[in-house]
Amino acid sequence: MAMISTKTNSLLELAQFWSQRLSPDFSLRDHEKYLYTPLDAISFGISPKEPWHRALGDVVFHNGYLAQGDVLGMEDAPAFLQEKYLSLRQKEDDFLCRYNLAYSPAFYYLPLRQNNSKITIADSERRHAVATSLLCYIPPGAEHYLEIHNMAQETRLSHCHIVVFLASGSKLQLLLIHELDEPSQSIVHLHFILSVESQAVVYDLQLSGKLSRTSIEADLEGERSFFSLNGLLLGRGEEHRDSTSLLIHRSSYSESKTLCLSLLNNKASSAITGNIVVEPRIREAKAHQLLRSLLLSDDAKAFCRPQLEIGSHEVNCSHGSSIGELDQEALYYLQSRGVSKEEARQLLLKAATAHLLQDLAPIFLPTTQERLNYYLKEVAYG
Amino acid sequence: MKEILDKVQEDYEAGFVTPVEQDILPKGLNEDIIREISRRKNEPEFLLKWRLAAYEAWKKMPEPKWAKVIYPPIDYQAISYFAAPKKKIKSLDELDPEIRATFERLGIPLKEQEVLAGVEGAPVAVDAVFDSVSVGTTFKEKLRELGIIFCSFSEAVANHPELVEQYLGSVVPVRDNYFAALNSAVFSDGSFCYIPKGVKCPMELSTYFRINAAGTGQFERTLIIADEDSYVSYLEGCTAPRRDENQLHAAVVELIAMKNAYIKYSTVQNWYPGDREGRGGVYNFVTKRGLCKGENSRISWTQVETGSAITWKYPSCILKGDNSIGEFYSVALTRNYQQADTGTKMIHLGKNTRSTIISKGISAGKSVNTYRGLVRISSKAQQARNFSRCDSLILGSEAKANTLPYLEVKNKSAVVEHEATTSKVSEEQLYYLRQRGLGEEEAVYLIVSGFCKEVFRNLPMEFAVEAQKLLSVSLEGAIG
Repeated sequence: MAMISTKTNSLLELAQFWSQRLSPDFSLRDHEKYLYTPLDAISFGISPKEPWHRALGDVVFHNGYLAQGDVLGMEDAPAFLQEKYLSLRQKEDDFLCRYNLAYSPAFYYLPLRQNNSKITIADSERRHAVATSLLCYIPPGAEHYLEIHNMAQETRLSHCHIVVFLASGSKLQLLLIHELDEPSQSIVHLHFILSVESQAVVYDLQLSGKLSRTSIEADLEGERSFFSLNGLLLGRGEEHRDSTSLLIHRSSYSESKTLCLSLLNNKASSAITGNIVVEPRIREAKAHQLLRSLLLSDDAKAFCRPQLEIGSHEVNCSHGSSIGELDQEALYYLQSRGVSKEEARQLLLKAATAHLLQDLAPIFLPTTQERLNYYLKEVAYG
Repeated sequence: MKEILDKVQEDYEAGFVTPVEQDILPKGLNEDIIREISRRKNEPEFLLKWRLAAYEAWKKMPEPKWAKVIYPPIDYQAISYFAAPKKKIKSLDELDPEIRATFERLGIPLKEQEVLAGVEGAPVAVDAVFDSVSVGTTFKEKLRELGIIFCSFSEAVANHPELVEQYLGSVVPVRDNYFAALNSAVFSDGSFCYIPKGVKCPMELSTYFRINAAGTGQFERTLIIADEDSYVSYLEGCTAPRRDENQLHAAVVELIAMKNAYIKYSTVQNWYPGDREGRGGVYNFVTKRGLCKGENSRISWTQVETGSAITWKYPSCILKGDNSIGEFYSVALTRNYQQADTGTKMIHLGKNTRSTIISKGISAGKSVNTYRGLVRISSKAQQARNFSRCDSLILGSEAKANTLPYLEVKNKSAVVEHEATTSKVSEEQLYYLRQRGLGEEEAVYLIVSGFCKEVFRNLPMEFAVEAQKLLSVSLEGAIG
């Protein structure tokens, strides 16, 4: 396990600034602005008596994929990256990100030189809360496959903040898996900065846990940059899933695609917010968004906000959203051929997810396939 | 292209002022002003109490800031809340010729044998509201024969207080929102309509709102009740003089549809939009809501929004009765510095309820056009269906179009679908029309009216003609 305690002086100052200003009394009210969801469904359970920052998190770097030597402290990052990172975090207005900034034990820098790497976020000591900060850098022209496995256990709240800089012409495929145990709650904040002709494809699989949330911010800064988000949210019991994305087209010819699907059984709920912003005077930007929810039980709830904010006329943007139940005819068809109701459901759910994951890199298949089958079955049976 | 832009004309035809002697209450808002408004209108005690309760609620409310519109703070003490022509009249024949001329110039007939805007067809009954008061209602007698009550709100308070007391505020309660609370406290007049059981209203009913006096706001209330098995088609139009100051218009419209009733409510909103530099114009902060109370009831909102400096308006349907239907068809055109944040709310409570939302936004110049819509399916709304389609067309490089839908589903049997697109006028379509000899402006107009066709189709004939005309005038010079 790597534990490099590294904060640059300026980051340290910023962290101190926020640690003095943020009250350790973690209050839901403060959080309300950032979550569009039935707040009654969420409880962080952090009482003022147990300030969450006293317990700090760690990151497990997998030896198999990521060589120990590749994990560096922030101070080892090139000066221009440090500068960019600092300016980014100075502007942070998200309440949780500020907390993360103030209480992250270490700021890691991953240059991601090799072809693939895997990071597991876990809390080996079963602490109340975990805060993690990472900066990843994909060098020019490089192609990388990054897997982030969030495995918080008995954690009241895990907050992970990851910034990814994609240099010009680089490509990244990122697989993020939320696989938490029953009481755990986890929020992963991903911020992408895309340079000229860079591409980032993100697969966000939220499989289990009381609350999981992926919040994605992508700055399409370079011309012809491309960003794609594929989210699959599975919920059962009283779980809550949240996917929030803010894709900002800051350059001409940039393109983004968002595809999000939530499958909910029992009393589970999901909130999907997709926000696409096209800045003024941007030419030929393309943005497409499709948010879907399937409700499998009477008590499941789905909330969708597909939003477009278009400031330029030379664009081609569209969004669609649909919420409904499984196709009853297809269900009947399968049942009439001797497939049990649950199995039929499982089949149909699998079919619904196929489109979402069809371009997943083969390197990720060993991690995803079995897991997905297992959790789809769990959702289908409820 | 630049020449076309330079050609932009001040083409707001309704921007004139009528020189008529008026009785205006001093500026400011306090309990005494509200008592004075109530006293002048000889209102019963219950209404005064209702107004004062609304005022108390309003004082404690913060002004909403969530809409994507920017405007300087409004000084509510600098507005006069009541302005009425001095001459009191008993019948339409006594109407001040200046006022009659005003409405005639706007194409609104105040003589019963005339028809709207020169269109041949069925006659239209008009309730004309001039600043704070209703100056006349046509075809009252003919409608009364069928049991239909169509009159100004003040008359309804005087003659049918029991209906007013029963239904006023039942759809939009006084504490609903900031502007509805303000309206409830100071509303001065408006239209009232009651369609009795089994009656299909034989003509279109219409209200025409006109702001004339400077330094005032208009706060009117419309209440329409359609009893079982009845039908009514209601039209609403509005204009104001061209002025450099901003004027506030905060209205409330409540519709109630009982079992098997159908209310069709159409609006052509053409308040003064401000000049090319964004000076002046009306702030149109309106709360419109319909309640489908009985089974199989239906409420249909159709709106064409071309005016107002700022629009803040969400005509909504509460689908309470089983099998009830809510519809919303909207065209919102903004240009210069206009800002519109408009859309709808469809709240499904009953079983088998259905709603359709078709919204077309066109933004030109430096304007901002936002669609904001909510579709909520409650846990008891079995088999609810919703379809929404929101398209935006951007004309010009500095215009903005936002689409902000909110979908909330708590019942698995619901089917909710939402689609939206944002684009500019297709080069191909433009090229096709140009090579067939059409000028650029003409070609764009043709494409835009095709874009809005789905909505215009739902307007009553009289209004469809007016809306088309308004669209062409508004698009003039807005193409760049």
